[in-house]
This record gives sequence, structure tokens and C-alpha cells, in this order.
Amino acid sequence: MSAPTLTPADAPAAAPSAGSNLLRKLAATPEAGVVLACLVAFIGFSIAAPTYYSTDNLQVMGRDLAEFGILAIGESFVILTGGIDLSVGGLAGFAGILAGWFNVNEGLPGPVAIVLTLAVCAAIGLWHGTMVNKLNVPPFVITLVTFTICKGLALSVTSGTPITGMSNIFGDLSLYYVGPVPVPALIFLVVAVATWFALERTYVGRQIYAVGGNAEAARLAGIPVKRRVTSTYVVSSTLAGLVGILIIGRLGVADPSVAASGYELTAIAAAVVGGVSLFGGEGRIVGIAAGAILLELITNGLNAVNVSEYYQTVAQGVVLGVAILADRIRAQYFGGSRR
Amino acid sequence: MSGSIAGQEFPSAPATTGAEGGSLERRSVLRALGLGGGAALAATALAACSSSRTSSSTGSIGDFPKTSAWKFAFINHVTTNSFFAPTQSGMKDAASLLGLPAPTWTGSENGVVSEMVSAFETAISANVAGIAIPLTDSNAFIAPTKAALAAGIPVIAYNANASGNYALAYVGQDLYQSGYQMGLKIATEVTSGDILVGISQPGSLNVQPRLDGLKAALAAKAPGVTVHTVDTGAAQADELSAMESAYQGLKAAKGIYAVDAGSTASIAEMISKYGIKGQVHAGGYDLLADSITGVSSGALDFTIDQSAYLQGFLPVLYMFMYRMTGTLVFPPATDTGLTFVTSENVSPYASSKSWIEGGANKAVVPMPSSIGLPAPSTVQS
Repeated sequence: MSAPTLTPADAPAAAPSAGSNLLRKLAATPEAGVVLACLVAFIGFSIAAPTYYSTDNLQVMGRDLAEFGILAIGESFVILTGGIDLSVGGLAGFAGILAGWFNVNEGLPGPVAIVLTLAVCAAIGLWHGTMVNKLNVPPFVITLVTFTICKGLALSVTSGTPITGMSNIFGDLSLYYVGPVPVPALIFLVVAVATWFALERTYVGRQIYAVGGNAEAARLAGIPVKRRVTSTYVVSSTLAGLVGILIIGRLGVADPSVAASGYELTAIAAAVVGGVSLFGGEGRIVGIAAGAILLELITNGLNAVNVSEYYQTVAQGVVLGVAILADRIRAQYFGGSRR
Repeated sequence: MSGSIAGQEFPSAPATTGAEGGSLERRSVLRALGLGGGAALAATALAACSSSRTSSSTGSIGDFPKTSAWKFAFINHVTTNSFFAPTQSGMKDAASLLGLPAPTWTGSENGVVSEMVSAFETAISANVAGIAIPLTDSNAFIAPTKAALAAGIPVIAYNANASGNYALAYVGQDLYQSGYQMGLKIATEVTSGDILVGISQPGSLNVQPRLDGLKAALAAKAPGVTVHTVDTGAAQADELSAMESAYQGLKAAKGIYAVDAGSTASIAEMISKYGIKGQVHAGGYDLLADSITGVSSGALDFTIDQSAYLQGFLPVLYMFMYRMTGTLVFPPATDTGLTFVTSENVSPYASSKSWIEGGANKAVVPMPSSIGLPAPSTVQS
């Protein structure tokens, strides 16, 4: 069983030269557009604002990227099966509050608070999967319910006041560097590599693609469809929990405002820009990572070149639209098309 | 020159003569600061600059030495909220006055602290000349503030302050005190029963201290009043529905109040919509158009002006002076005021539509023929 995107694109009938053949091959790669867009955005913003490519700013981008990049990867797991997880932003916010609460209010050591928080998040993912599989609740609905509850719980647990005085381990996770690289960026890298391996190099991963491509065919082929679907929600929720923990470490407090951040839409946008089909079954981790990187490059770049806050969202939409359009044109001419 | 200061930013005004037309000497700057008056400093700088606009050289304004084109950054917690439109005008006007590029306006649309921290860090990495930020969280901005100061970037808090932070100064309303004063005013109108109080972001340091002050005043002066807080959310669009829901659930409320701009405006709108003007006491904060209309129509008993314009204007001046003098002119903490706008004094707010208060009119607002007495001074000499 192989996922559609893992199937090599048809080779061109005739290659005039090795160089053009390589170019054509690159252009036929589904992620080529978004990677190219990343390069163009980085070079463009670097020319416009010299501080854009400074080490300090790259470190800021690295920490930002870790937050919604990891969310995007988790979200992609669900989308690959044809579902959607709207809870990730609210859940990330709630997870931060939960970790802070375990640590400060319950007096649990930092590592225990982290493990417990991730366990609760995984259980929420299990709940999502169960609802989708057993009761046929649309993923949109059940995850929206969770989002709303999490947002409310983040406020009610804290009465709106951030939790302070947390263990140093949270700050260590978010604020330290390995060489010049922020630890969260490394965590993002580890998550990306691990999920790439799981999705694209394991039997289970290929089954997830198969479920998203055609659930009925997958079921007939003997794939445990429900279990695979549930596992993707567990991954998504757990990674959302991880992001929540990274955020409170960066802030030094567990702040309930994070639950209302709207990160879920950023995560979905990163996944789609990175080539994940909303119909399921298509998309690769390299594309998802590139999609998240592109969003971060644009967001940070618009600030760097001082685009008015009132126009930033418009500008982001336009840039993303152009990126997606260019990618569709590329796909039409060079293959590697997506649904 | 009777034309506009800085080319476009200020309205044309009748030519003034005498001391206001003089140039700024450093001595006068220091004297102004010695008096502890941010407003005095602003006025002195304005006076100096108004006489110097014939100079077209960039980076040399008035009698100030030439400086680089310092670019400041304003981080904000609700970047698209209309309350801060005057703040943005203020920062741009001040920058234009000083021959500086317009400061950056960035942060979070919905009060998300993590987004503000990210914007803060981005500003530091961009090596901006100064950062102004509402300290809406007591802890989250400590590390970035320290990092900015360590990098030689002055940081000023505006609109919201937090104890334990290291911002050089705070420019804004004394939030707890303003809430306390509001509570005292409510206590003269409602002595028992239930009241609703809307708050856009519970816990956020730009509004929570007001609520705390309000409750403290009521506990002291009208203990029979029960306060029901309503979490209205940071997005203005949601605030009306939140207040409506709360009112539907407590129609016996004797007063409906709010401690933030959007919620106050939504109360004014709601009272008009339900036709309960005069049946319920109401009031709140800031000068959004609906709030001013509400005070004019009698839907609101009052709204409190905290001078959003100065919260943008003064930090730019302060950071400029701080940089230009190599930290000698330390920015003073500045209370931007507490003015109850009621039916008695709402007229100029309602009629001028001035850009100073978020309107579009950039004309000079005429002075009244006489000035009403402000609250008596409590300064001990």
C-alpha cells in the first residue's frame, strides 16, 4: 500500500539533458512550489529589511515556528484521514493552563505535570476519535466542541489571571539554545523527523494515507480504519499539548489568552499550503514543514517591513493565495497534481 | 508659520507669538522634566518644533542635535481595536514632529500574550530604537524587557502597567485608582441590588485593576451592591452579544457598567436598542463613538476619558529624549488622566470628531469661552 503522494510522478517522455531533466523533476515535486516560495519570501524580506536575517530574528522565528509548526504537523495527521481538528488552538491554551495548574496549584514536579498534561491531551484525542468512529459525529463538530470547552476552561480555571511561579523546566524547554538554535526549534525538527518516519516509512503511516485516500477500500483491504483514524486525533491532541507547554515556558506564565489565539486556523493553513489535501490521503511532512515555515516567514517579514497591522492579514492572504495559485499552475504543467 | 506642524500631521492653527514660538534649549527641557510634567515636556517640545519646521533636513529638528532616524515600535494587545486609533495618531504625530519615521504598530489582535511576546522579541531583533508596550501580563514581558534594555533599547509601558517589570516609565491611566473613582461614582447612583460590569479580558492588567478598584470602592461605600462581572471578550463584535446575554439573565440589574472601551460602547448600544434609557444606570470607559453618543443621549451616565492620544504621543517623545540625551532625561511616569465625560461636558467630544479622540476631523478644536473647574488639586506643597 502506498500513499498517492509517495508514488513517483510519471517521468517525462524524453529528457533533453540531465540539467533540464533535474529541473523538471524538481518542478514535478509537489512541495517544490512552497519550498520555492519560502526561498523567495526569505530573500525578498531580507533585502527589504536587513535585520530580518539576523541571528536574533531567526531565533525568534524558530520559536514561533515551533509553536504552530508542531500544531500543523498534528493537524495534518487528522486531515490526511479526511478529518479536521479545530480544537488544537484551544487545546494548546488549555494544556498550558493545565500544566501550570498541576505544577503550581497541585504542587507536582514539572516533569510529572508535563507528562500528565500530555496524557490528558492524548485522552482528549482518544475522545475525538471515539466520537467520530462510534457515533459518526462530524470531526468539525466534535473538535469545535472541545475548542469551546478548552477556551472556557482556560479562563474558568484561572479566573482570567495567569498562573505564575512555575517550575524552571518549562522555561528551560522554551528559552534555552543549543548553539544558536532555540530548543523549541529543535523540538520541531525532532517532531518533523519522527512524524516523517512514522508516516512515510512505516506500515501504519501508509495505512493512514490509505484511509484518507479511500476509507472503504482501506477497510476492504483489512486496514483497521477506525483505529488509524483515532490514532491521528491522539497525535494531533498530544502535539497540541506539547505546544501549550512550549508556550507557557516562553511566557514564564500560564496565560489563558493563548486558548483564544486562533492557532488552529494557522495550523490548517500551514498544512494546506504545504500540500495536504483537505479531502485526505495526500501530503508529506516536508511540505507541511515548508508550509509552516512560509507562514512564519511571511508573518515575521510583514512586521519587519512595517506593513500596517490593518493590512497584514490582507497581505498574508494575498501572499498565500499567490503561493497556492503558483503551485496549482506548477502542478498542472509538471504533474504531481493534487485534488 | 501658521501652517501645519510637520507638514501634514497637525491642523493649521492661528499663528501664535511670544514664548510659544521660542526655540528649545536643553535647559528648558530639563526644567520641564524637573517639574515632573510630561505634558510640560510635550508642550515645550511642541513649541520648539513649531518654530523649526522651515528646516527640511532630516534628523535635525528645532535646536536638537542631529539624530539618526530612530524608529520606535509600539506593541499592542488589541492592534485593530478602535480605542487605539488615537494612540496610533499620537505616536505618528510625535514621530512626525521629531522628524522620525512612523513607529511600527504590531502585536496581537485578540490580546494573546504569546503573540505580543513574539512581536516584542521581533522588535528587539530588529534593533528598533525604542519599544512601547502595554504590560497586560505581570510576568510574560519581564524577560523581553530585560533583553531589550540589555540591548540598549528603551522600553516604556503604556496603557497598562505591571509591577515587577523593568519598563523605564508608565504612560497611562492609574487603572486601579480610576476603577476606584468609578466605584465611588456608582455608589452615589446605586446603593443596593445587582449591577453588571463588563470586562473584555478578565485578568488582563489593562482592565482587571479597574474592576478591582471598582469593587473595592463599592465594598467600602455601597456594600449592598452585588457586582456580577461579564466576560465580554477582546473582540468588539462579541461584546454586545455578551452584554445582551448577561442583561437578559439579570433584568433586575440596577446598573450596567464596563471597564473597557468596547464593552462600554456595547452597553450604550444595548440600552438604546432595548429602550431602557433612564431605567438603568450605566457607564464605563473611553470615547468610542457609541459611548459618546450614549452619553449625549442619556443612555450612559458617564464615560471616562483616559487620553488615548497621549498614550501614543508621549512615549515617542520620552524615548526620543531618552536616546538623544544618552539616558540623562529619564522618562517620567505620566498619568494620562481621569476625566468623567457626562452630559455636562460631552458637547466638545460629540461635536469635534477630532482625530485626537479617534475622529477624522484634523481641524483645531475651538477653545471654550471659559474652562470648567477640574478636580481640586491634592498635591502637598
